[in-house]
Amino acid sequence: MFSGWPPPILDPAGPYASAISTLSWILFAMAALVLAVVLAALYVALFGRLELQRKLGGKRVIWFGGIAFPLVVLTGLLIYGLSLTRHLTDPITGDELRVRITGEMWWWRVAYLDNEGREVVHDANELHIPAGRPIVLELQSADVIHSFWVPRLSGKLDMVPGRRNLMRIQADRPGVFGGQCAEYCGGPHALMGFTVIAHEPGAFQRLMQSRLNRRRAPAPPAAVAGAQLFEAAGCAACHRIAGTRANGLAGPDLTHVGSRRTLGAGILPNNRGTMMGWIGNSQAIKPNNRMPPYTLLSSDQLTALATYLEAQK
Amino acid sequence: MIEAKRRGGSAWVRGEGQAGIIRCDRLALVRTELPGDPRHLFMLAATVGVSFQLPLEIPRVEAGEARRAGAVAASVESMTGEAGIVGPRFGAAQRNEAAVRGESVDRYGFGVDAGSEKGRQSDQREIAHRFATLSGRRLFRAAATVPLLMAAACKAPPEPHPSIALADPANGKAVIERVGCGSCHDIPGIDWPKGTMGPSLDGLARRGLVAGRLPNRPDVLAFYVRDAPALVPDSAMPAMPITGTEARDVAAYLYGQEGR
Repeated sequence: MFSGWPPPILDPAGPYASAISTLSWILFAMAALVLAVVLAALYVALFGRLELQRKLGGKRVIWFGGIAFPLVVLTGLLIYGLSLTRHLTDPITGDELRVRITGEMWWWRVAYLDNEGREVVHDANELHIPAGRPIVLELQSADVIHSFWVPRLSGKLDMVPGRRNLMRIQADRPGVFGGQCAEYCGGPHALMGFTVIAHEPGAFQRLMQSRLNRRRAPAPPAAVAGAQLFEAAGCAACHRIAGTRANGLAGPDLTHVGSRRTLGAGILPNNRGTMMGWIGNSQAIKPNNRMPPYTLLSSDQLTALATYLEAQK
Repeated sequence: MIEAKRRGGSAWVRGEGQAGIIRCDRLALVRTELPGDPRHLFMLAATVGVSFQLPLEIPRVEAGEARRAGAVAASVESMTGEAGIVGPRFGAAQRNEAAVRGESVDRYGFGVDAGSEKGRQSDQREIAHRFATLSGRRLFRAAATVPLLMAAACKAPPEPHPSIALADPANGKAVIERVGCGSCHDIPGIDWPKGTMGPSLDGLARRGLVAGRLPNRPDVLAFYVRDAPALVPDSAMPAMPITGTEARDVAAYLYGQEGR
């Protein structure tokens, strides 16, 4: 997810992540400086002249180098760091785009909010944003503590049960950015990924408008068998597809699953093969996730389900 | 069945038998009108360097059909300059022979010079030469292949494929990771995921059959990993979003895994 060079923490793609990268570089520099001073002192202690060694062992050095210097430097860094990143958690001031993201074991529930804070579009494991604009995320948890982290766009903030934590993200340019749960949350925590896709503002508007206007689930002729099977096989008990009778809320919303880049919460590419493999036995891919294996389905049935889900754009 | 055999300066095509493999190193659409399962009246295209099996049940080969078979072979051969038609169960019958010029019949994918760039260029020169020197009966036969060639032209032009011996296993591994083959297959060298819906691909080079019915050959495997339903329509394995070159890289990677 975060492979490649430079590491995403040092490759910011927006103002909030830039502040964190700047802070990281300053910390690296300070650490390097302190290391150099310590090594120099060590050299003197081992090989230096007796006179210098005696000074190094004196109380003044301990008071200055051991207490005063760290106190001043660390306090300064703390204040600087907090001021640099204070805008990450700015409250909602009015017209920001708001998205509620709820951590679940082991996926992300996504709801786009209107100005009054009502949920208007539902999705899962993927967030579409307009480039060049701050977005306020309302981070919540449905079970245990998770942590939302998209390193190229912002900081890392815990999702605590019973709390609503606000964090801002922004991408300066369109692109795709990987995320990951950053707080151990049990079982397949390491396989709890996330994707943020930043669009040109116009393209984002069109995407949201098409999702707002969606009244009926697309069901091309090839997908009819899959649509029936989706209800008959029990998928609808846990998954919702807007515009159909499928209204389960235990698992990820599949209304737009056909347009998602990933499956299984940011861990697999989305194509027919991975879709069938996931439905058939997701336990082999993401052990202990809450979807049972469906090895009772035939290849025809798996193909029908995949065809239907691919059509849910 | 159809057989091409080198004899002196030319090759022979025979009609007899039950199943066989057409190998062509260029995209070719092969249409047969042999009696048998109507589903197989139209054979689809094989991409470069890919053989595919003719799932035909041919109870009897008429003289005219042998000629048609010859036309198929001629079209394939004239497009590639090197394609041979080979059946695993050649009949003993010596009748219904139709002479078709051909260069070789046994250039399977792992051949040292099979599909090499140098060989291909000389083959192309050879084709040009042959079309320039067509005469009489051969011209008639070439004319019979025109519909086949036109049908072949409907498809996008083939990609320039290296032979599987020149394929890049490292890229094959990257492709496997990119498209998530592991969602269904346990693949050696791929740590995660190790899906269970499909068979383990461990030690694939030692397997007898691909998908339980196809000959385990590099070119067949390369075709299969890209477009399984075209070869085995009722397979659960879907067509995968990879190019022909990537498919050959994937096949090369899978063959390179020794088995545990």
